[in-house]
Amino acid sequence: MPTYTVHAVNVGSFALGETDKVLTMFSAERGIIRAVAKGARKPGSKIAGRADVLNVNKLLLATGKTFEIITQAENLETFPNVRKDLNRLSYCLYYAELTNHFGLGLADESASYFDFLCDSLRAQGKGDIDAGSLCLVFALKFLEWLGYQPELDCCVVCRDVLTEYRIAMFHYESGGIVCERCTAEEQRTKVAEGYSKVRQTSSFVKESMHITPLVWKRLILAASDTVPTGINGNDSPAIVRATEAARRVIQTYIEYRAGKNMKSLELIGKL
Amino acid sequence: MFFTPPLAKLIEEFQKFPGVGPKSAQRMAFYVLNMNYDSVQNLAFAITDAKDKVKNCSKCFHLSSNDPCEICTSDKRDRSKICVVAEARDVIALERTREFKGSYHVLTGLISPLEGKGPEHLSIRELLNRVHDDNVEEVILAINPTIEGDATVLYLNHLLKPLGSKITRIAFGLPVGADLEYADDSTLSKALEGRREV
Repeated sequence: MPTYTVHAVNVGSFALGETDKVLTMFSAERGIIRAVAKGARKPGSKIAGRADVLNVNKLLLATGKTFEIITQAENLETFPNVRKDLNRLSYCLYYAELTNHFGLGLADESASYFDFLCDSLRAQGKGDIDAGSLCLVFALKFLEWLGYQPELDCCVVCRDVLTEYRIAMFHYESGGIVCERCTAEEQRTKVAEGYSKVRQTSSFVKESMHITPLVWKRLILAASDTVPTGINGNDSPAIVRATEAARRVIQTYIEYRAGKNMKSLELIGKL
Repeated sequence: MFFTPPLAKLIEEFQKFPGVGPKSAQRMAFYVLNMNYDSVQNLAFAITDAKDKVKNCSKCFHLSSNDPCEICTSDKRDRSKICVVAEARDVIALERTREFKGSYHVLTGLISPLEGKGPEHLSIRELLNRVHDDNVEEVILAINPTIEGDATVLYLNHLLKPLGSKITRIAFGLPVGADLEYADDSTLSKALEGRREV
């Protein structure tokens, strides 16, 4: 069996047979890889400690029929601080879930994305910046990697430059912000077509979310950051709420693109 | 059709067991056919009897044919200490050590954010009620050191701390007979963290 070496972050796993585990990893060399960690669920297994989600390993893989087979594994990073804070752990698992879901689309730029993912996990582990803000910056950058970067400067319908007085909605299907005038125009058209204003069942309304100028500014600020270290944690409550609202807008946009809800952030709401 | 319908049905049923593939299922089915009739009846009775009688204890959620279970009703057990485990099989593993004389609480799983398994799927509310009502002095979290285990421990710690009980987690480190050279970084750092005077 031919073997090769990769550097990879574990982004998911499931049990196989009595003692094996299948790991989904994002590697710097080949993007998403699925490999069997034989005996990883045995108590004395040498590989068990390396097979956990969010661990970064250097691996020697053998080509298998369905899955690759892990023959050697060396632990490079484990992000222990992330495991001490439930919020940060949930956000890191969200990064893993996103990578697992969209990872195939990142194969061409796997080395750069691998570094970006490791940097993002490291930033969450440091604990000096608000976890939700870091997640917002990560999510916007992640969308840029995928080619789904939201349009935040111009209205996605009329292409006019946006100002804080003209913000109305974030439209998921169009992937950006719709100005006040275009939103009003759309609603007038729907009413003319016979939709009740109370029902508001048009796809335009269902696929969009109202945003405030402050939320828009947080989105602009987060999108301008190239590394997830931008937004400091000493903001006023209004800024914190706006950042959280901006994160939810982008989270919903990602879920719209994914066609499913991301489960890893559900825990945060339960605390 | 290679197998006659009753045999095919038996193979199909065996294949539903975890870790049993088509070949193993065939082997088990042929073994059953070669057993004498009494043994087959005993096997069938054991399966239905276990299914009928074994339930979760209403107090600790351990598997037992009695409710409350033998551990919860025993006078020799220290009720001021609760050992929290993920599954009923973890109780059996801890009981094998004969070291722990307190009571148990089985969570019936772990919080797994990636699989969408949240705290509402576990017996956490019942644990909080027990800790509150029974004046528990110490809650020992005997939960696996995995991402799911860590998430569950952080969540339980968040809820249990206000109740005033001492909360501890079992030690982690090298298994007996292990080799330092092959231990991973996180296991070694946990082992160093939990070192003790000899």
